[in-house]
Amino acid sequence: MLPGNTDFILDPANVIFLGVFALVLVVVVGTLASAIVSARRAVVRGQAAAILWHEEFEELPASARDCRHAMTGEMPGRRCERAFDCKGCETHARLLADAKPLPAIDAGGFFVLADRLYHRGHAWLKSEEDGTVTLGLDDLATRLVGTPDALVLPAVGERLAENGPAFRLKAGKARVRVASPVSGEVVETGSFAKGFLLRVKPDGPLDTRALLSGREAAAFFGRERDRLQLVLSAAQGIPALADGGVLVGDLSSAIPEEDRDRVLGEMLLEA
Amino acid sequence: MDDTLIGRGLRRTSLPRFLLWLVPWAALLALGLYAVYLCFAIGLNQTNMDNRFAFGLWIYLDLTVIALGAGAFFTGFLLYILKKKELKAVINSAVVIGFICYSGAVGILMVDVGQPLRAWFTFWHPNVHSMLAEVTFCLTLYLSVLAIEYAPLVLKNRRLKEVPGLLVLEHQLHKVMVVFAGIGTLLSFFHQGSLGGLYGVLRGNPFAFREHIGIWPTTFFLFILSAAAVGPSFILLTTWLVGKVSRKRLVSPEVFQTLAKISGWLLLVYVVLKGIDSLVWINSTSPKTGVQVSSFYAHPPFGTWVLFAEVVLLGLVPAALLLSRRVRARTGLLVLAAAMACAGIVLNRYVMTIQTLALPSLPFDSFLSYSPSWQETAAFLAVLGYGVLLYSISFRWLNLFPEERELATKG
Repeated sequence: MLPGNTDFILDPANVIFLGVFALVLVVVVGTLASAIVSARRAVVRGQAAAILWHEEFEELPASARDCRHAMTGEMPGRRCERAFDCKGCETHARLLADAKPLPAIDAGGFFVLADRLYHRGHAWLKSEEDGTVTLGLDDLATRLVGTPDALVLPAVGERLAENGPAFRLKAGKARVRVASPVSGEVVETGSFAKGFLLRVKPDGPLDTRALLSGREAAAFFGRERDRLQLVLSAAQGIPALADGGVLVGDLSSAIPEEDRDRVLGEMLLEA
Repeated sequence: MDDTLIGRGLRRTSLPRFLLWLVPWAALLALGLYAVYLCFAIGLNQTNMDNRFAFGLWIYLDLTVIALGAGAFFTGFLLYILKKKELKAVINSAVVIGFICYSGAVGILMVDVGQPLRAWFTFWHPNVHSMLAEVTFCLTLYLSVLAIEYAPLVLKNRRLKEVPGLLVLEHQLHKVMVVFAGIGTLLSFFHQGSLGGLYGVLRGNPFAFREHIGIWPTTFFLFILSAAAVGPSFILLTTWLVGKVSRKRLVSPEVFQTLAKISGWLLLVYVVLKGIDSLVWINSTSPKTGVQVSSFYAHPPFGTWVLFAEVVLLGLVPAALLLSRRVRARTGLLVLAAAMACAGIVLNRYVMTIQTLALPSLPFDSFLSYSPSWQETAAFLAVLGYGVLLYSISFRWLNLFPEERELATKG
């Protein structure tokens, strides 16, 4: 049975003993191999961005996982369980069908533009007449980042995956990625001065069901302002909500340098 | 570079201070590696072991770290199989500690065997009648499983997870972790047991020999139970220690309390069974071989205090403390109780390894004393140095305690 081993006796006890270990070894190697094969398959199918997004969503504190309908007051306290993917959410579809006029909501002191759709990771998307979309950083994130030390944009021709990294920013000690609201091919790179950072040709018909606009976006920014206050006050060691005043324009200077990475990561939903 | 490797929201000491912290442990490892070199280059005459005292400091170390490292398999079992979700807070640290303990034990075994290049002999020429064959197979496989369990922690490093392939592999490995947790439990069950069985089957040594249940001596079951009992205590102790050294809150108090409760109950069951086993041994097993138990305790320093310390002082007392709600509410006492539980198992493994071999087992035999050579001691300490180095590096650049960031944010 074992070449070169003249002492080995092929009896039931020996076969059971070695058989059990061989079986365990096969299970270990087989499970590991299946994980590697599945990983490779997922990468080839372009699922890496979605997996990263779901993993980071799982690590978000509960306060960052509010359902869009909780923010508008339609379903107070409801937490999202679908990584902000509203497309397949039955509750979202039902609430859209039953949509009733709701009171206006304070946008938390941030600009919410009517022609933009907002992603929960603080990127905006604007549909252009030529069928492309432009992407940029929303007002809250722009104020948080300030003037970045570096802006790393993908090259023209590169592909973006929905919820995958759209571009990266470096500001002081902080290094963050901004999640893309859309899947598609980068056709032009912009800059803060140009008013957009990327122009993207979407894959197929544009599906914006997971994005926020109008009153929902206003509610989202109001909630994000509260969350930012908690994140910032924790950075100063004393969690407390401010009870008055207005947000300063340059939020970036209000963040201690050693907390900048954490604060930006938490607000831009990167674990 | 260093900053970009540290997980987001985690505060770590400056790189120069961290490197300074590593220096003494690296020195310890280097000294141990030199001792290992001497053992390989000159031979096992560098140790104070001989044919009569064939198990010394190294086997004692192996038995001890394997028992303490049981927290890895047992925490994995509780989290992935029994779904005790609160233990998610310590599973990463438990895996790293388990990996350190088992890799350290296997490393020392390679030196102890003296011919590491022939290590494969044990797989190709297995003595299936030896408990050690089972231990070797289980240890090797379980170390592989621990390495697989460690991999996702590394792949989840902030920089590495930017590589899509590595991130997806981490995700897929996490999905099948329940399989590895199950296999780890099975393997640990048998090798912890076989390490105990190793002594319980020594018919020629009445101090170690025990009654059998089926084909296994009682020590087989006692070793499994004691390792499972002390594993959570060791996780508790190390988590507290790391928190103190790093000056951070790593887990919520509820996690400590859960670990203490689990450890306390298992320790209590172990102490009761160990007590019954000792009574049977004292009144039946040993007298049947013609040796009264009192003769085992007639050789200083191994008096009856050893048995008392092992079963009562470092067994029953910490079990009672760990099960007390009042004690669990006070971290200081909780840590003391966990340390006592760990010390009890450390003493048990010492008794099983060193006292067993020191006592005379034949009429013409005499009580032997053994003290390790500096090479043995250095190799032993090298495992400690290696463990602290690997744990420190893991703590700095991997996210060992998922609750740490949230606890830091809460202030």
